[in-house]
Amino acid sequence: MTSIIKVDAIQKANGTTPTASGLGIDVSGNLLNAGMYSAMSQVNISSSTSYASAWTINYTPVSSNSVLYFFISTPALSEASNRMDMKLNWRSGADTEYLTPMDSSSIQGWNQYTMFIPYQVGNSATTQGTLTCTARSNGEGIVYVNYSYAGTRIIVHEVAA
Amino acid sequence: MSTLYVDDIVEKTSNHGVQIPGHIVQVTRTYLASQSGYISTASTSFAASGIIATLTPAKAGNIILVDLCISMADAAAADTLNIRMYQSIGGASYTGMAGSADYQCGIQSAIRWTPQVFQGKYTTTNTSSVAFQPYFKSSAGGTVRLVHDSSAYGLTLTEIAQ
Repeated sequence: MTSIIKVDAIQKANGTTPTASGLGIDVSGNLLNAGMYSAMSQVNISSSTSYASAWTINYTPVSSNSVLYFFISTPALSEASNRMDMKLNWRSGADTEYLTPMDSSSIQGWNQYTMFIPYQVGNSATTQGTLTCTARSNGEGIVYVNYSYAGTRIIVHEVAA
Repeated sequence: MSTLYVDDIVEKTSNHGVQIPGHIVQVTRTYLASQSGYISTASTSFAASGIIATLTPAKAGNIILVDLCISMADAAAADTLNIRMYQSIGGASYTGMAGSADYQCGIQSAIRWTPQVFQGKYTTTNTSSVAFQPYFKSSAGGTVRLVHDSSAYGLTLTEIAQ
């Protein structure tokens, strides 16, 4: 027989508002938390082959056993037929390098370009972590991240591992 | 207003779980940070990409949101890259999502290296596993690349209770 309990709210026995993980329903695949962040500052990426800081965001996971699904859109503008490489890093761990997520070398002149990157990383702590993005044009001309009023948007879904 | 105080909720019967309309039931993602070589074709018929995400719905009638993100595709021969989302229910053959046409996303007749993003929705009719996979083709037979060398892709499925 199916059992159904109808209530308007669920709280912890001590009266505090629970999270999904606090209620013990964080089975693998459950969404535990979600957030959206913006990084609006324009950053000029020179032609250097070295990576320079582009933007950072801070996120505090609600579980110590989860996977973070990031949906990242970053606008950039190239002065000419330029390219740009990016790296993403969570909690000062290993870099994930994305080669030429921006490549406008087949187009002449200035080009506004939006990169879409599906970053993903495992998480094992509930302390605040930092997602860091660095970029380079690797010998090509200058590239502007978040040029003018355009901005980076980062959506994070924390999913139970 | 009634409030239930509890420390843990455990489903009585397997696969029932907590079904609150509008709430996310489960999320899964197929992800690769850096493709080795190309996922390419010169076929003028839709070809499987091999990028597959699978989810077993908790309940018939729930919806599944489909999000595809590829950091760089490539119409290498200045041909047109057509991308269409296919699905397989319960292990059956793949067919195009209902209402999909030949050009859900892609690159039109030019050498361009651009991201590709697709968002779709599917309403489940049973609790058989559902697999989603982007198919792609070339309009005129020139080489097109769904995923460029060293590029990333993610195919995310999100089940939402109804």
